[in-house]
Amino acid sequence: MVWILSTMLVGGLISFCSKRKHLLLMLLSIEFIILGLFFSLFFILSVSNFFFSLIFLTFAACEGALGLGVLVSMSRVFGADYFKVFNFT
Amino acid sequence: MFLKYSNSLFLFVLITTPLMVISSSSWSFIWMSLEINLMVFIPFLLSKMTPKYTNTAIKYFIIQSMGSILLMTSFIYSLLKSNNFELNLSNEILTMSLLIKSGIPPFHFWMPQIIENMNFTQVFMLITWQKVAPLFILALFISEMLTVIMIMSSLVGMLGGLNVNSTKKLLAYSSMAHSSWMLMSLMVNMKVWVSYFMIYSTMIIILTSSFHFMNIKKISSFMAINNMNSLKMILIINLMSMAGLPPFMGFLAKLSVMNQFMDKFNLIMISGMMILSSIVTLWFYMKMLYTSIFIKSAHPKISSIKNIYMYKLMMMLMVTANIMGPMIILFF
Repeated sequence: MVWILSTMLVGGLISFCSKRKHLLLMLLSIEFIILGLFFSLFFILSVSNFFFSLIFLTFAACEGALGLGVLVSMSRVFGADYFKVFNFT
Repeated sequence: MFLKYSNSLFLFVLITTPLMVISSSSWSFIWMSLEINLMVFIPFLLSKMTPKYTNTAIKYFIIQSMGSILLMTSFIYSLLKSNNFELNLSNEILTMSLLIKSGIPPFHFWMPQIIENMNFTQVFMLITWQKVAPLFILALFISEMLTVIMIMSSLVGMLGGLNVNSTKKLLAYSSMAHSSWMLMSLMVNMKVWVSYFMIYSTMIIILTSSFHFMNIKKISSFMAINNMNSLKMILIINLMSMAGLPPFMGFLAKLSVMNQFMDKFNLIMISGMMILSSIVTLWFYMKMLYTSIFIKSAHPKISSIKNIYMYKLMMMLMVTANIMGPMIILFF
C-alpha cells in the first residue's frame, strides 16, 4: 500500500516536472498526486472515522479551483496557457 | 502609496493565517492554515491584470502547492506502518517542503524571478510575513540536515547577490542570506528566532518602503537621489544594520544568535562560514551606498515624494531604534 502511494506520488511528480506545452497538465498532475494522498488517507483512517479525508478533499478541491482561476487569469492576459509566454529571468 | 486599497482587502486573512499556523494543535490545522495562506496571497499578488503580475501569481501558486503536497506526503509517510517500511524519510520530506515554501536554497530558484515582477508591498509581505508559517513548523522538527541547508543558503545568498542589477533581486538574495541566520537561530531556541525575525522585518520595512517611495528599481538609480540627504542617511544606517555592522540593531541580532549557537553546539567551522558570508553580503549593500553617496548623476530622475513628512517621521523613528537598540540592551 506504501508502494501504491509512492508510485502515484513519483509518477505525478515526474509528470509535474517534465517540460510540457500547456499549463493545465501541470495542474492535473497536482490533482493526481492529491488523489494518491487521498487514497492512502483512507487506509490510515480505516481504524477510526473518515472525517479528515473529507476535509482534505475539500481543501484540495479549493486549491484546484484556485489553480484554475489563476489559469483563467493567465488565459485572459496572454491568450493561452502555453509555457512559452513565461519570462524566466 | 505603500499600502493600496487593493492590497489591503485580503490583509486581515493574510495576517491571521500564519497566526493560525502558530497556534494550531494538530497537523490538519497546520496544513489547512497553510492552504488558506496560499489562497489569500494569490489575490494579493494579482492586484492588476498585467502580464507581470499573472506570471508571478501562477509561478507562486505552482511552487507553494507543490510544497503543500509534499507536506501532506510527509504526514502520511510518518503514519504509514508496514512490515517492510522501516526507513522513515518523513522528516526530510517535511524539511524540504518547508524550505520550498519559504524559498531557502537549494529550493530558491523561484524567488528572484518572482520578486522581480512584484511591487514593493508584495515583496515585503513575501520576504517577511510569508516566512513565519514555514519556519515555525520547521522549528518543531530540527535535524542535522539544517546545518547543510544553512551553509548552502548563506553561500547562495552571498554569491547570488554579487551579479545583480535590480534592487528587488538583491532583496531576494539578501533574504536568502538572512534565512540562513534564521535557521541558525531556530536550531538554538524559538525565542532567538522571534527576536531575529522582528529585527529583520524592521530593517526590511525601512528598506522596501524607502525603495518604494524613491522608486528605485535598479542599483544605478541610487545616484539620482541628489537632494534628499535625510533619505540617504536612512539608507546608510539601515543597510549597514542589515549587513551586520556594529553598533546597529542587525549586529545585535547576529551576535545574539552566534553567541547562543556557540554556547549550545560549539561548531566553529559553521559559525566561521556564516560570518564570512555576512561579510560578502556587506559588499553588495555597500554597492548601493557607494552609488548613492559618492556618485552624482547629472540628471536626477527622482521627483519629489508626496506625504514625505509622514514617511520621514516613521523612518526616523525606526532608524533611531536601529541605533538605540543595542545601547538600551547594554543598560539592561
